[in-house]
Amino acid sequence: MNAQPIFPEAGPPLLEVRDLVKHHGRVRAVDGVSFAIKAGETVGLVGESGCGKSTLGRAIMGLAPLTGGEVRLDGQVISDLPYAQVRPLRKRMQMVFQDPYASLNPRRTVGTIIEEPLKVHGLGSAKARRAQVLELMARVGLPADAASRFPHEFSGGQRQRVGIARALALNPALIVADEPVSALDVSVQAQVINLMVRLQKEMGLSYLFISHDLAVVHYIADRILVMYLGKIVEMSDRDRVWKQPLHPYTAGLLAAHPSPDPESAHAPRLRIEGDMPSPTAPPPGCRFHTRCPFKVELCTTEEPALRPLPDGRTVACHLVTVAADGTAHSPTEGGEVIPASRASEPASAFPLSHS
Amino acid sequence: MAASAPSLVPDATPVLAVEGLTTCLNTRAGKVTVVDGLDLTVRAGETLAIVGESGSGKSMTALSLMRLLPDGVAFNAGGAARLNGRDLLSLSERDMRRLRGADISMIFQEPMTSLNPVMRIGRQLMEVFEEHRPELSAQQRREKATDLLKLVRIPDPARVLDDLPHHLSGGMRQRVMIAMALACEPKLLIADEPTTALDATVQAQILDLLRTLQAELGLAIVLITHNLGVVAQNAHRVLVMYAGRKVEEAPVAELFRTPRHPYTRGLLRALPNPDAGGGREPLMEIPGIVPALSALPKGCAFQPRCPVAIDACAQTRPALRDVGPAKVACILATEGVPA
Amino acid sequence: MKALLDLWRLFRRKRTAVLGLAIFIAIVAAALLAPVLYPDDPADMVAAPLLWPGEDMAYPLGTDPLGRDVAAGIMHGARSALMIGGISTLVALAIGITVGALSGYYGGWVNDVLMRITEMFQTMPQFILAVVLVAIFGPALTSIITALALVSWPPVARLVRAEVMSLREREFVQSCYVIGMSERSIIFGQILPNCLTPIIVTASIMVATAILTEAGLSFLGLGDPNVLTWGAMIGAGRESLRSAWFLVAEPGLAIILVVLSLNLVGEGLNDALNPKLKLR
Repeated sequence: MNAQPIFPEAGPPLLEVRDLVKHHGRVRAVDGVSFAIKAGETVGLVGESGCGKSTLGRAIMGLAPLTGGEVRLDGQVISDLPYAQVRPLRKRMQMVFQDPYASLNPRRTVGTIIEEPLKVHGLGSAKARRAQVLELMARVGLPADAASRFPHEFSGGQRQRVGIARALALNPALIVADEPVSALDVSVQAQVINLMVRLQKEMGLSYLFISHDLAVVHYIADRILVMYLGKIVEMSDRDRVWKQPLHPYTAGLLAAHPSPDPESAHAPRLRIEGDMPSPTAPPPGCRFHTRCPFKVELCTTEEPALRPLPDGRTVACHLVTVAADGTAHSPTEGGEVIPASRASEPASAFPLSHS
Repeated sequence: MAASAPSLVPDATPVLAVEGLTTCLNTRAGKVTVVDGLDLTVRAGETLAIVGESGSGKSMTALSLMRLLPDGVAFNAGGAARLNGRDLLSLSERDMRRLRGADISMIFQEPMTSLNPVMRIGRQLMEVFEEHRPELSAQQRREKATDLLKLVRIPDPARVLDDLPHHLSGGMRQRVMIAMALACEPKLLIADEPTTALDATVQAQILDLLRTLQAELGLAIVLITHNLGVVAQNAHRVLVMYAGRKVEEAPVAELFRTPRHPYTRGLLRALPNPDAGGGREPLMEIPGIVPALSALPKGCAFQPRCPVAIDACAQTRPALRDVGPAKVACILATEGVPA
Repeated sequence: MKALLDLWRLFRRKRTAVLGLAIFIAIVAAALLAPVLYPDDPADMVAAPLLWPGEDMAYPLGTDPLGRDVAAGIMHGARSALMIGGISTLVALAIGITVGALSGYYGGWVNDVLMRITEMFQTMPQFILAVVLVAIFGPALTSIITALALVSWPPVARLVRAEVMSLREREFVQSCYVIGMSERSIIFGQILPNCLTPIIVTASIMVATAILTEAGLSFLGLGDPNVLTWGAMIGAGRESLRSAWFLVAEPGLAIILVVLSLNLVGEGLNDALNPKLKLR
């Protein structure tokens, strides 16, 4: 089960999550997740609503106590610390929220909001802080006169810039970004993504970038974790997730992504039927078996472990095989159009014809 | 899937022909035009996508056509919308009510808010027949409701009839909404962001279903969305709106291959496209934000954000004109490779 | 200052609210002017007994069977009513906000214990509880104020608890945890200021309720005998109800006016402070 990748280079990874479990009452939102993030790396976390990805992000930030497992920052366990001891660690680790409307206090000016982290940690004199706020605002592309204005005077994209500036104020090593562009229009979304990529280059940041949009995650991330019903089903580098998905769910997610290219309409498709089961009662065996077109008897009884493959990827599927030469093969390979099992007979004709 | 779309007869009479549709909104700052002289046509078996960002007027267009504008807040200020020759905009409220759900139907983004939470699915479906086909017996109504659920590929329809909306998943609820919309065999279906609230895998299922139903029933569909991927995979023709006006209209392949309006180009290049290669070149940004409709610039509404704008763009509002197979409202648009 | 001006601009759009505020200001003025206009003890006999209102313009509201000036009683009564209502409400707010904030913020067993206690107080009828408390502690001003505060804090606690619980999960509060703000700053600087609106609205109604309850206590003879209150005046006037009904009607009208005005002001504040209505 403990399948976190080991990095040969010296020192512990920046962030390490081991067997993290987070239940809300009967909802098993996150059910044993392990992974690590290296310094300077962007890890994308992708999954559909209810898969537990946001809960995982919040649990890593310590916004809610864990049900089990641990979170390590620079090798030190931070998940069992009382809040008073977590506070100084916030300088290493920050968060950007999805909703730039809800995450900014409506009664504070933008300048005060960006300055707040500096003030909380007693960094610099009032004058030095002021100067730093202006510098941060310039860095994220906010006009200098924004400092004295209130969040509601700004557009969604600009508010998200305020959120990013506040996260950068403490000069963190890691930023957990929970759906940071999902609430934005396409043209503005590009502005924020470009900004985040530029900031990463300039400041050597690491991101845990959480999103439901596989294309966005692919664009920004070096490695991608695919989450389904509280578990990670696949961990892989960005290009192989897109070109050779291993887990049938990853393949289905990929096929479901509507490509902005009408010519690709006739490409082979794998359709995932039905909906994600409730996280209050995840199915036995493989959690995806209820929707998997390839499932066999074993999948319904035994939960597949997340296993590392020789090619560096990690997957939790019984049906992924490794050939003698070390290459991994997905059950989705072969056969250009994979018919999804129909839930019911398709109506052959309009059954309501009258007239 | 897309292959099953019917071959289009280009000269067929349109099911819906809209001319000069103008919709205004009453705000504190006064009257604001949110849809400004919009023309569009949809033929049987055809999907016309209306694409735009928030505030572009795409949803207001849908509500105008359905005559569902919120009273006292928004109103129709001109134009005609002929559904098989009858002008929807000049019908009496009573005639319009008879038409709604029968000849023209609509599905919304959030199916939960459109369903009565305390009424069983079957009852809600049968209500549609009570409204529009009072001659049917209770038994016939129930049979028809079951047929409808089969039509939208709901497994175990007999059981779902007795479910309450919250028993169903988001995707199932949207299927029920589609079933209700199709109950009286409308000619035209307006789908306003029908999959925006749904997950990717479920979105794909619903879009597949709409395509299949269109092929089976010859529906004309107006698909309103902000998602260019959904447009590319589902529409036959595309209409791009910006600040209440049509800026470009073209067949889908043409629009994606050769976007002629700078705004359309901006939208397409702002999207990360993993199929285009693994690079991480900066995405194209459209600088600035959508202007407030109450303070539109003189001339072209997009000109302040446009990377190729010239002085003339700020002077006069560009008229929509034919450029190759497309209609474009940009004085710089050219036949071949765009500027 | 600008915020107050904005509030007034929203408040004055509702005519009943402005009327309520005007009545309330008049009552406060009466309370403030009482020692100026009637410097003597209102319990002193000053004129012939049972003068009807208007009979002698020196005593516009008449006199009671002991020759006491009703007008002086009403004005001094306004002082005690506002003082008792105001102080008991402040005490109730202090208890309610503390209990509600602790229970909403910490949740878990803290919430369980505090909420069971709150419910215990809520299940007992307010007025009866007040009667019992005053009967136990004796009819003195402090015990009356304490009793009034003890019966009126539970709704505040529940209100604050619900607000704190929802605010705690709001993203702008979560973002304060993210930047490492201390819990104290989060509670006092971020959460409680955002609960202020419903608290202010509730407080205005609570003052009215406290005045009404106190009047009831005084009427039953459980008031402080050394303090002149409207309730006590009604209680005393009851004996001559048939011959001089104005002795009951006048302080009764005073109570109605203060309660009505506070309710109107509360309703007006609720609308004015409700951000959803601002943009109309």
